[in-house]
Amino acid sequence: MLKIAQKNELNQVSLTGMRALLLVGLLIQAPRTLEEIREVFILYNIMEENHSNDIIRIDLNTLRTMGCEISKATAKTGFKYVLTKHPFGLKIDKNDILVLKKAYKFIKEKGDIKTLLEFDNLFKKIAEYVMDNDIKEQLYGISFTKEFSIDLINTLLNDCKQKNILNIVYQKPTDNVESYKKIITQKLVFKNDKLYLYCYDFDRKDSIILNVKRIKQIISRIIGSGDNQFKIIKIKFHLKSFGILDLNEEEKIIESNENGYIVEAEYHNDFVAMQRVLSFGMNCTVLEPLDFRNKIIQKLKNMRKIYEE
Amino acid sequence: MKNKLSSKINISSMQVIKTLQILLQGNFTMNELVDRLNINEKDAIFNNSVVSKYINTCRYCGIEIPKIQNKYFVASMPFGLDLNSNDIDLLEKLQQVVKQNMLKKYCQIFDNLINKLNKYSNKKIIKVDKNTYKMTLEIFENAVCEHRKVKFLYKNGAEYICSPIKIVENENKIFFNVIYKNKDKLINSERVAGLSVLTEKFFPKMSNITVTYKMKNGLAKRYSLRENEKILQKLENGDIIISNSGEVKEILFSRLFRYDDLCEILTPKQYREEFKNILDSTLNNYGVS
Repeated sequence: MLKIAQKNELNQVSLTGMRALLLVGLLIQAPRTLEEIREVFILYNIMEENHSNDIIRIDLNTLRTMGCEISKATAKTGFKYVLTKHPFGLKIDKNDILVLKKAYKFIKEKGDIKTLLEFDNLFKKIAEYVMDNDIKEQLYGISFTKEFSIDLINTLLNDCKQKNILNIVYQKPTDNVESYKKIITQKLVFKNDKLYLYCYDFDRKDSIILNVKRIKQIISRIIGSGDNQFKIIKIKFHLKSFGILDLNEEEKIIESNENGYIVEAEYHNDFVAMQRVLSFGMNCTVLEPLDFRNKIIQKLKNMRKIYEE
Repeated sequence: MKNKLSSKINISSMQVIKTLQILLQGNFTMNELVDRLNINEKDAIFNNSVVSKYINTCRYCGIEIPKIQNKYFVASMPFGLDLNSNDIDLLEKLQQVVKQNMLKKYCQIFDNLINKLNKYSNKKIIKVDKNTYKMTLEIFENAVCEHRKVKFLYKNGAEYICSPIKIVENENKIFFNVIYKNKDKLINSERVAGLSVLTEKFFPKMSNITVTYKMKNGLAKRYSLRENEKILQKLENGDIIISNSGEVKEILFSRLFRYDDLCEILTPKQYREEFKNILDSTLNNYGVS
């Protein structure tokens, strides 16, 4: 924190002032016993070996007078002084929180869970230095993890990395009934404020997407899946223009001409592919495969029928 | 003895701490510092040489207090936030997002926040750069407030005169929501080369359009309402009717398309018709009439 001073250098500074600042710094870092504080003071040449500990007690009183809240060193605190409030806390206000929330929303939409977890740690770290409890709570509340268990997210991230097989209890969204599922984990995706687990379902023999909030229990785990059973759907489509959307990582332009773009895409399953293609509206025409193209046509016909009734 | 001790304090310690507290509030010349420190004192106990000594004391404790253009300020604290290089990268990411996508007022708030974090951190974070704001967004926002029409110059040379409504963000892309030829339109900010505010005024629409739609079957059961939505009615068969105010049409249509035949627009009639026309056009792409 401060450089060890030679005694002759200390004439140009306030020795008691240095003790007060050093004491604040020490207590911000961690609760300390009287002996621990004394040791540091002697090391930094701002207290003599033969000085009484009363010097430190007076320094503590001075800090309390200046607005620091410092507990008594009792058996309950392990005979350590605990600093609970001090005037050097970070002063973040509601406008700061508003901008952080807005900027974080952009980051969140990219959906990279690892980055989001790193932001979670950063907000917690900053919150530790904020004295205002309301602002502290708001800082904790920015992160997407407020609604999820970080342990579960880390566990699932690890499962996805190792392509583990999980036996889980899952609450169905349609009737809220809990059922068992055997899945191979693939990837975690954060989208529209929800956390999804992309995986392979052994019963349905298909790739599915589960809402992580509905995973009630992980009953057992088999490390590594052996055979890679993931099914992906590959499609090729023509795009007149992107419109309000942007291509994502699963989509690649393989050709562009005056009429637009030919895009090749790989999606997790039919449902995801269907939703994505439909969201482009009339800008998009599926070229291949034929069966998927026919499914889209049928879907569009069903949609139009609603508006003809 | 104990009572006597608990009432003892170090006056010069208090004065050093007071000096630091004032320095944390802003940038001050020596005279300003002395004046501020003496405000609540009966006698003027602070003077230049005393305050210099206290600043040196702070510096000796590792608190960085530079003097630039005769003004002193705290640049960093040794016992502040312990940010690692990854934390700094994350703050830089946030700063980039703010500068590229947000209005000047938000950029200023974020820069102030970075300055605050810099003061309370033991590391230098990021430089505040005041010259990279998206001026176009600012001009557009002003035009909305003043109800003045704007002229967009596209990168391909085309020009459009429109009435500005608001700035809209979708999937990390920024759009200008405007009325062009009496139609609601989104203009991708990436396509815009220039923007000017015209003297001609427009009459702003006083209310946002409310759209109602029905969600059916499984979708109705698992659907999570968005900020601008509310359930108007729950039907006996489990379907729900939702009202939506203020969502930009293109964004709403793209989203409702995704829900395929599990969603039906009910009102306004004009939206229902338009949605049907888009379906017709999409089917035309496949040669189906």
